[in-house]
Amino acid sequence: MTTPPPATADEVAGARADAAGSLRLDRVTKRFGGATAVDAISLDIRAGEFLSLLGPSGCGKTTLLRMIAGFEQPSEGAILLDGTDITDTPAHRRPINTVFQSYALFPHMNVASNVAYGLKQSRVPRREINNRVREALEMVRMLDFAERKPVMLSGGQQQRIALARALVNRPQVLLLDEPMSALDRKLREEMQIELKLLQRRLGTTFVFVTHDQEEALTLSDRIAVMNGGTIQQIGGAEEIYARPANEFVAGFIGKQNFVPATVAAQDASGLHLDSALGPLLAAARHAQDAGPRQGGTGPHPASAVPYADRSRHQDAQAHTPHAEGHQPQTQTSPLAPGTRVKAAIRPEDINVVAAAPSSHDAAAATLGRAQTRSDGDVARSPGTNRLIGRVGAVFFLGDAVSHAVILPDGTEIIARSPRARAAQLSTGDAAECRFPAEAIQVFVS
Amino acid sequence: MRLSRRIFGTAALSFPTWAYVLFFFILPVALVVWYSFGYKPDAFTTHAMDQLSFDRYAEVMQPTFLSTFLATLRISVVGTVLCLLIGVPFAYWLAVKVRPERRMLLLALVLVPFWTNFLVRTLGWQIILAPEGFLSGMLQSIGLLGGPLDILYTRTAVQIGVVYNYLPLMILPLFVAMDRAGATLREASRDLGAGRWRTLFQVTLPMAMPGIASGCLLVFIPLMGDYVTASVLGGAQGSMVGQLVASQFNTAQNWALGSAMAVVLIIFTLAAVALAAGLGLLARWAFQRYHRIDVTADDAPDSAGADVGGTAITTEGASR
Amino acid sequence: MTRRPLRVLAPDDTVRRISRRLFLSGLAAAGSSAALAACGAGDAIAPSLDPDGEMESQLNVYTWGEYDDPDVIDAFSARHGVRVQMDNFGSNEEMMAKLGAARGTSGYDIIVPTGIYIPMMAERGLLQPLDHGLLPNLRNLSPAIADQDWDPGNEYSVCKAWGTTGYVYDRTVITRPMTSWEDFLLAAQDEASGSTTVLEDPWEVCAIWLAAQGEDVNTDDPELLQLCEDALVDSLAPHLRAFVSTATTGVVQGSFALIQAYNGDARQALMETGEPERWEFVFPTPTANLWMDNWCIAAGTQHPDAAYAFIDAMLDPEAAFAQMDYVGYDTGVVGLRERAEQEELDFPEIVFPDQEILDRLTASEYNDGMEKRVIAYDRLVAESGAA
Repeated sequence: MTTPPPATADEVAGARADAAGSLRLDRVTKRFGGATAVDAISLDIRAGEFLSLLGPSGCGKTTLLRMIAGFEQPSEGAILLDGTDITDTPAHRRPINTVFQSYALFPHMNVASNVAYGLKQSRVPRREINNRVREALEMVRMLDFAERKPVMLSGGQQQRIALARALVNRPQVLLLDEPMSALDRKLREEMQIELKLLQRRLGTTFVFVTHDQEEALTLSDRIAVMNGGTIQQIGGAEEIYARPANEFVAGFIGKQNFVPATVAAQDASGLHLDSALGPLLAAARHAQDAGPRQGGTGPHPASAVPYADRSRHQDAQAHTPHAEGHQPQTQTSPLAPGTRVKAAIRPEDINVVAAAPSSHDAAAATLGRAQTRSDGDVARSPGTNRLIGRVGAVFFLGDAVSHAVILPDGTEIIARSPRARAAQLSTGDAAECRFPAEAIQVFVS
Repeated sequence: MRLSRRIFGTAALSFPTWAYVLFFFILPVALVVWYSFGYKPDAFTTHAMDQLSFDRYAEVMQPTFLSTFLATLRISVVGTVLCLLIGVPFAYWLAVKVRPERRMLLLALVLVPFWTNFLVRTLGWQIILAPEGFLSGMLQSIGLLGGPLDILYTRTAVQIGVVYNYLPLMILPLFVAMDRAGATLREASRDLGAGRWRTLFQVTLPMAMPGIASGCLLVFIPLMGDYVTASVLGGAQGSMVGQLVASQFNTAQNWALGSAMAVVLIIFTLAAVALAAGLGLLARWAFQRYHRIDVTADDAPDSAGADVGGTAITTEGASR
Repeated sequence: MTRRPLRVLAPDDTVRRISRRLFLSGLAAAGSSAALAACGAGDAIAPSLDPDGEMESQLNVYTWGEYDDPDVIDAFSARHGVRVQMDNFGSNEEMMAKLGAARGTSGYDIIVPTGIYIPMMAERGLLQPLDHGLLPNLRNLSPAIADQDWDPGNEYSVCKAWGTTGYVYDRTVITRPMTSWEDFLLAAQDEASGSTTVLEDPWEVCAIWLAAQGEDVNTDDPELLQLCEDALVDSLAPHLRAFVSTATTGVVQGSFALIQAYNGDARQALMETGEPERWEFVFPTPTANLWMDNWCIAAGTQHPDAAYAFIDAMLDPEAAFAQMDYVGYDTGVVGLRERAEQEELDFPEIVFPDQEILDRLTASEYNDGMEKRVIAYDRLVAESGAA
């Protein structure tokens, strides 16, 4: 491994100084015929930020990106770059460049001419073009390929050229439209690291469209999770992972075990739920209301108490006043008994241990509220939920082990443990899933 | 052994191709070349091969043939250029501006004339261009023309007919080439700061070059051998070599002389194409040389402001 | 072939134009492969069947395009129960090459060569001598038309149609009186410059100058023909608009003012133009071609009875009149002019030139001067195209 020479202070400062590049989307809407692809999205993107638009295909993320690039005109709303309205500025006059999903390298030009293309359009002197192209190619370590035609390059190499071709113009904002989707996994991971380092060093605003949550979580300062043309949640990686604003985000980001349930009662110990698996105890509830905008998909999220330190990300949220309408507003409103909800538990929050034969034979689900049983080897703690079943399958994931535990009613619970701490269980063994009340997130369904 | 297997294996697999080329191209052309060394012994015999000579070529290379050849070349070059000038904007419009679901309909409309007999199509123009035809009457009635339209049986009429007859052959490959360039590359060009015209000249057209070349070939080569258009629309002016060849084969029944004319026509046409291709390649070479981005020379440090990101980023994984 | 749809799509005059001109320029090439297939066979001509009084059910006729009234052919078919297949050629050379290559196996029973080619075809054995006993209507043939020099006693041929060459001019453009080939050349260089056409025929084009000079139009004198070539190239080439085999289109479309034309075509043109008084046809002095196309029976015929019956049927006065009416050329059957005048046929004086005119016509000959004429013609074409 070669250590990258640290960027000099000058470079970094210089880059950041002219990297204004803040974007504001103001109720941007795009309709195609009768269909609304992007529905009144307002969003502030800070200069130098790495923001991902994450969502399933058809969620409007690419359309949003294309409107920022200028390839599509918004049906309504405005796009502002550093406070200037660029809604009506044609694509070729915007100081914004794009890395396309297919790279879109010009096949009739060699690599150097591809990279020089943008500079030629802005009539940069020949000598400067040569220098900047050389530096851009050095930056992506493709200088040796300057004379090649794009067809002679691998996917990863083409991607670097596409990156160099966009960055050589020193755009205020770089748009990346699923640039990694054509790369194999290993190469993708390498490119992700390169991309992140590059963005940090250049200080350019990156808007990155992806449907790959892992990629978004790895790279982004903030992630805007999109669905149905709206932003479901915007926040830091950990925040949207640990505190999803609604059922969609909870299900889209990471894996979840969803258990339908009904509210039984709420007291000091927490929120008591009845489910097909038996009673469950969720931590004292901080109901999150997404506001009218997010009513579309139904569930009103209820989040568990902070399960990890998220102060930093709370911070990040505070910097985006414009997106407030889309931020889940925290409020306390007790859920009435009988309310139908969904309990969501992350696999990694579930601890799987071997169950005592007796408890297995009883085949009884053991409940958070009635934690009177003693299991000797496991420290009993108030607020711990326990579900007993049989191991259906064991998946070795390298750094982790995943267990699929089949409960007596047939429900399958997925648990995931670090390899070192994973219980030695085989298929068919009786197993107990334990998770604290804080691990349950409750969404009104 | 491996080589021979490769050759025979390939030959067997490509049988339809080489059989096609052999039977529909090489043999007929070889036959024409062979006949060109013969002579016509009498009125009842089209050719005799018992005395071979180059005499027919001497007969062909007379000022009569050469001046007709030059007229043909002129009509073909002008016709090809006109087809290109009309075809490029049309194909661009079709490939870039028209909604995809309408393209096939429009393309079909371009091809509709092809469903009609070549001769009938051309005769249609004879009627249109006649001094007492409807076009003439219309132009006179709206005052664009003082007297009757006077272009039938002129080189202009042949030129119009030629453009009409061969335009679809130009549009099709152009459309395919421009369509293949795709919207994404045009967007990439705009994204990098090029407006519509610059995108057209720097991306769409250069990428359509293979289509332009094949379109020009598809128009130019059959045009050099065309005789129907010139026979129907041309008069004393606008006669073409194809008519001479055809009249040797059909009217005079002198296959030897007709073959020699055909061979000379083929050679001259190929020479013209080779010349054009050579000039094209030379122009491309010069263009690329002029626009070459030189990344080797480490120029003086006037590049302080030109630094994109300074030094290369290097990570372990990416260094492979 | 394409004739039926053409009739629908194009005006009648265009159809006629196609039939002559484009067959001339070679659209009938499809048949050439038959000649190729026969290459290398011996010189023997396949034997003809002898007539046996029993009508065959098929007859194959190889003739010029648009040269026969379909009603007449249909009537013959209906009466004799013979299916008639009409194929077209565009030049005598084409027809001769095909027959020469097929050597009696062409399948054609009746062919229609121009008179001057009959001696060489007969010499080659391509023509079947006619049994006059099987042609009772031969007595209807005018004595003036029968017994031509190139076929004494009508041994091989019977006149199908005959005509002569002259020119049509636009009286609004050329106002002086026009009578001779000399007038033609003068007008071409003057009022009709740029709107003059001549026939696509080397003999006819050379005859313009030769006749105007009072020379023998059939000359084979190379020096004279060279003079002719130079004169045509110098004085006529710059003024020519086109080489056209039929006058019809030019007159109807108003493209030309002075048109060298066969008399029948000229009449057709005058009939179809809306203003016949504007146009005038001239039988020019001092002489012009007298040409004749003829029914012949091809050697190797397989349908001799049908062939004789067909030729005889064409000599019937009714059929002959219908044919004359259809193509605009006299078929040589007696009494046609009288009937034409009686029925007030248009322009009978063009179809049936006066005896005085007939007497001064010259039948073209196929002689050693032909090659020189072709060269002269080709140069004329090239020079006028370069103008």
